[in-house]
Amino acid sequence: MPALRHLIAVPLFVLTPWALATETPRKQWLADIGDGYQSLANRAAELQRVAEDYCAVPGTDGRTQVETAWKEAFLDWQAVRFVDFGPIEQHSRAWQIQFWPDSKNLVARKVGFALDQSAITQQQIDEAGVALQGFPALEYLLFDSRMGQSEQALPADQTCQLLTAIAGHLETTTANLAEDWQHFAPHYLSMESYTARTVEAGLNGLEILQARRLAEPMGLRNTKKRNPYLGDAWRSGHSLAAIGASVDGLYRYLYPGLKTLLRQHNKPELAERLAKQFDSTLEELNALPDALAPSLEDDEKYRELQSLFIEITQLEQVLANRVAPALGISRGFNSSDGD
Amino acid sequence: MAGLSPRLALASNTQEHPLILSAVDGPDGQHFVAGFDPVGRTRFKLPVEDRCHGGCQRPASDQALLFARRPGRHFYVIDTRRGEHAARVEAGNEFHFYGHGVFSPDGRYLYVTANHFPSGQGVIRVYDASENYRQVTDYTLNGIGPHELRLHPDGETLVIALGGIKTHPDYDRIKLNLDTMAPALLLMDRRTGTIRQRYTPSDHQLSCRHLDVGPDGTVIAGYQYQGPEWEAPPLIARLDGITGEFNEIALPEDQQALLRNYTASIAVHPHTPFCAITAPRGSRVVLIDYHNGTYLHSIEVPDVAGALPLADGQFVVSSGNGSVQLIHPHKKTTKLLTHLDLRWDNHLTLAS
Repeated sequence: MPALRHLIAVPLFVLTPWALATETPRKQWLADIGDGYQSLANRAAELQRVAEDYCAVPGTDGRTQVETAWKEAFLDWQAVRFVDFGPIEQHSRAWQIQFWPDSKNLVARKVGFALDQSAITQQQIDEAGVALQGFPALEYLLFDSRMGQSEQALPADQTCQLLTAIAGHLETTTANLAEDWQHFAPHYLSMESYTARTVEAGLNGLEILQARRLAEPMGLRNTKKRNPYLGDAWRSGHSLAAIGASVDGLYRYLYPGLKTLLRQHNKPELAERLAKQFDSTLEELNALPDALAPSLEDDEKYRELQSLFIEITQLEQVLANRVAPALGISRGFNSSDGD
Repeated sequence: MAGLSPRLALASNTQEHPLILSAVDGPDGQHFVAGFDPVGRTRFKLPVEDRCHGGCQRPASDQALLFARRPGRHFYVIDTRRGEHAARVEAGNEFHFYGHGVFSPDGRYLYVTANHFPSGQGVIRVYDASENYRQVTDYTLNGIGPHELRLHPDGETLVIALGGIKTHPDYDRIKLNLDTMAPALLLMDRRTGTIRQRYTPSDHQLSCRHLDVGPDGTVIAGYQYQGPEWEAPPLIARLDGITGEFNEIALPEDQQALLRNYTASIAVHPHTPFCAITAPRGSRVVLIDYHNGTYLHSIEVPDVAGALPLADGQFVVSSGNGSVQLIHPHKKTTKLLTHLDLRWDNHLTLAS
């Protein structure tokens, strides 16, 4: 696999003016998204490694390492989360990696149930439901406050078995994802329709981010009540960090190919405009804390969230109302469901 | 028996325009059931609580049903003459619907595809419409995820597309069993629930979803492939009404790839040899000769959704982008019937 990966990555490092001229948006996306997946797989492997070490010889340092590794891998996932086609669609992998939203608190229920079993094996987790397989289940073990005060708190044997088994499943899933992305390359490059599909994926990702991951916990939608539990990763206090990583991921993995595409359509000014909007959105995000809850509890801080919401809405609108139409991309209604 | 089918009644119904129903979403995402006619006039637009999917007319009545979309917990009974809601019927504790149903020829019994979600078992829920849609029995399918069903022209056999995909309301629309799917096309005795035949697609991840039946009993079924998107397996199955032979129709390679492994509506024309199959992801309508299973041609219709045969030999097709178009099976062009600021769901339902 490394050899194949190397072949695909090479053109990025030998960019000449001539190569620049022949670089196509899909080639760029293929390499960029591939980098994102590989980084995720590497970080998930690291998470598995430090979880094993910590459970073998528990200690405060080891615990901190596991938490840090979880955060890094989780944020890497946020960066590539927008890709909703190709190998990520196989075997419900996106759900295996992050079961969200979890309105019925299934993660807590399933983890609780698993901890009451006599022994936990890797195979059990591989065959378990998606609520028990990914980042949220690990987050529960590492960060949930009630869990942390219970008899089952890490590094209890049973909990450590579960931690390493889930981390092992995540490692395998993300490694397969990164590898399958390379196998997917010829298909992705040969099918013209993936150009629009990739842009649509970015747009879908931004819409979910704006409406579900930010507006809902902010109380700007149905319930009108602020509720931090509707965001991502509230147990670890990483809801805003996750949003930041997703916007950053769109800038790193979607934008370069999109810029090439806009140039091909003689719309360099739209690429400029989009870049500026990314910059100001990321600037806003960088000034915010990782957690969402404190900003929901304090009206002064809530105003900062409101300006973030405006920035993200503008980003979504530039992409949906300016960029996509300029590229002749319109999204389907029935194309995106499974009935 | 065949004469009682609303589809076949179409030909004799030349005095007035039949009514066509569809689940639609408004521009702000509000959900409606819309009624329009084949000249493009909107008859009504009824607000509903959730996005709906398929529907069916109750024979010899002014009632038509629209089913909430998977996982849906109820169906709506519409008074088609008045264009009003007549009733709302719940799926019942521990059950959800998959979005399709069909009546017995006399309009008394209603058969609905449903999921008993604690067990994950697919069932046909049977209701007695003459008793305010009282739920009378369940037929088990020994399978998961029944989707669309139709009545065979013999009036006795239910033809059921079994998708094979396990879902649970706790997990929204997540597919929970992609590795162990067992889709099928089933023939069931509607009076006893006995499964008479079970036909199996060529790959266990070919989810059998939608179908239509011709007057000779020939079934055309459409699949949605759950495997890798870089593969392009056949998506159309044909069960010969005379010989009982089951096979799959592979399209020319470039056409096959265009469909993006997803078919939605199947519309067999009752008076001509043609069948239209919509593929929303590929924005194509495929036309085949269902008598012999040969591919004719395909037409591009962006985000195409529902399809329905019309008495004049044409098909009407709707689109998620708001347009409703007419397709003549011999022509490779479409004719715009109307364009409304509505997003049309995958199916069109004929009511008279």
